[in-house]
Amino acid sequence: MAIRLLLALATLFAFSAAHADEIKIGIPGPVTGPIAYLGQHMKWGAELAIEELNDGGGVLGRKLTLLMQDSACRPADGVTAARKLIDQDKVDFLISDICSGSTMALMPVVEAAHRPLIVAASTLPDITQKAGVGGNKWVFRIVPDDIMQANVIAKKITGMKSIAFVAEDTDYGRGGVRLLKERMDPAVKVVSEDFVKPADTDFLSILTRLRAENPDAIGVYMLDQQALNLMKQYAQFGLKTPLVARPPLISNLVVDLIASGNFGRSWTVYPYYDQYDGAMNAAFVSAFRQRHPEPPHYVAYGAYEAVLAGADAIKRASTTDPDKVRDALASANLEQILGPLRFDDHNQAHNKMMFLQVQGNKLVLVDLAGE
Amino acid sequence: MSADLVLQLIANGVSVGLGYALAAVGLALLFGILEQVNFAHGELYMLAAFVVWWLVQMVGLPYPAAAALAIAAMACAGVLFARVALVPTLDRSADAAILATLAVSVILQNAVRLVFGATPHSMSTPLEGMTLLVGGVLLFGQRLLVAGAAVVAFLGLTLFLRLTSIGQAMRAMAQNKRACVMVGIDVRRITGWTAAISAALTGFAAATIAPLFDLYPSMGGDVVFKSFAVVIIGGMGNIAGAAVAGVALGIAEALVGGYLGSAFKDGIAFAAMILVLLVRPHGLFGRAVRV
Repeated sequence: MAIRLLLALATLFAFSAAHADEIKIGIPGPVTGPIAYLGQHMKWGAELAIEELNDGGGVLGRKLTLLMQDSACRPADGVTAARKLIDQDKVDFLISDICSGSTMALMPVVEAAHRPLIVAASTLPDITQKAGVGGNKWVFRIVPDDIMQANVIAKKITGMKSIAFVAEDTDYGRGGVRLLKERMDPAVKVVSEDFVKPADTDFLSILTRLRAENPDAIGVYMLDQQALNLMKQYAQFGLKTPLVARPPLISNLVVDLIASGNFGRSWTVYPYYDQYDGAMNAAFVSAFRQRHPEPPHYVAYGAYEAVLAGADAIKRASTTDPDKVRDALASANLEQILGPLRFDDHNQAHNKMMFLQVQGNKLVLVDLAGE
Repeated sequence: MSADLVLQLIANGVSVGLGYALAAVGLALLFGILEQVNFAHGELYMLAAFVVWWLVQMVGLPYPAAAALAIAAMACAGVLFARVALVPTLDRSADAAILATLAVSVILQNAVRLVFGATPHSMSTPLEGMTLLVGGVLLFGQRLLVAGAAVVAFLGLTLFLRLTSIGQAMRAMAQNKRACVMVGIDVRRITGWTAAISAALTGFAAATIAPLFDLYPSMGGDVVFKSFAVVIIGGMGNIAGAAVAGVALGIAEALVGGYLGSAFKDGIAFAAMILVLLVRPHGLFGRAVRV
């Protein structure tokens, strides 16, 4: 018995020694709960980047490996997941959760543990304000925040007479509506604001009222799964009011609904769309499509680029020492899918955003918008 | 606000409320007869919804056939459910049944996630696009089907409990399990019947309601929340009470959601539940199956 135990222990140590050389990347992200669909895309995106890096011989001659822990997109679970990734799995850097609330909770954790955290999906402006100079120097964001997006949306709304908001009752939804209202033309009248729980599926009363109010546009701040229900019921009501601001029209979940032709003139502003015309994007999308049943979502793109950004920093630092990797990240100048990745002194990247509109029964990339 | 809008909101409320009642009836029945709280109720609903979706979208069966098949499959699943979770805990304390049904819910949810993945699915039915304009009020095909299904389910269940010998045995069990044993009623067999009917009703609810929304492995949690509210307000185990409570909750939510905004909507179910528990701890209509 004792010999067997010793043997088992020896095997275990041999196994972990073989894996100690790996560069480990951790994601605290939603595996369960209402955002699990996006968590799956996030994982797919990160896995693709790791596969490509490993096929090219890894980084510093070492293979990369991905570890994902379930956060259910909730702050408390996100912290537990991140602690496990840092303390037990000893990851070299982390890619942050999708939900802004969870990302905010992770910031002090990585600061105390000295691990770089790359934010690849959360868009709450506070994350940038608290990061970089004078704040948390371990947090980097590669996607535009809600202020940058609100600036673009506000310009597009100018000239409308009225708008009604339907948004999820979270930091993302409430923050998005508030930021837009602060920036948009005061002549645009806000006829109503509805904030719904992220798990709500029935929008009968809201749509009934919107049909009576008949605003020029419905401003939507919602994630994919909930928007699928809203858009399904919107189509049943036979509404013609365009959905604007940030409905997830890019989502594969709503492709069939858009194809039904009921969403003409609806538009959205997103950091990424898989139909973007560029050589790097074409390669990314085709590699993704070979492995998975649907094209990459925005969060898959974010996780993919985050892995590449972290790997690039480790390569330039020639070590996985967290302080040196952090410094290398801060001075990143990496050609990525939407252009060069560079961080400002608050560790925020400034990519172009995509203005996408439904024309007929297709979502079309109308133009790229800066700040 | 115009009269049209009020009428529309009330019509919405009645249709949503009948849906709540229909989704809750299986839970009410199981508690009414067996005095067991079924924490796997939401997952049985989810399972039925996935079976219908699979039959319609993957196998290609027409929607009515898929719904009928799913209800039959759920009745069988109910018998199995009684065998593994309900019968073994029949004579034990309430927490044994809670743990057993909770275990079933965890297993079902993760099994479905394993087989179908986390990506939400949606299905279309022939009634989906149909709308009916009656005196300025817009009615929706699939929601009318849900309302009709609720009426059929409640009437059918009431008649079954009154007129059939199994129904009478079920009511006897609700009154006194020990006495049932003494007069020769097979308690295990009746438990199996109760679970089968409860699961079939839950399958009926899922087959009609689920096409309105998206399907995902954890959807049961959202359904069970409203079902518990309806069952508690109506009186634990009171089937007619669940019907009344469901419709009342639907109308209240529709009016509040329409006038005050949807942030207040879910507060209604909670507030009503707390109020009822404070004023009438046994629910509006009291416990026990009175049909």
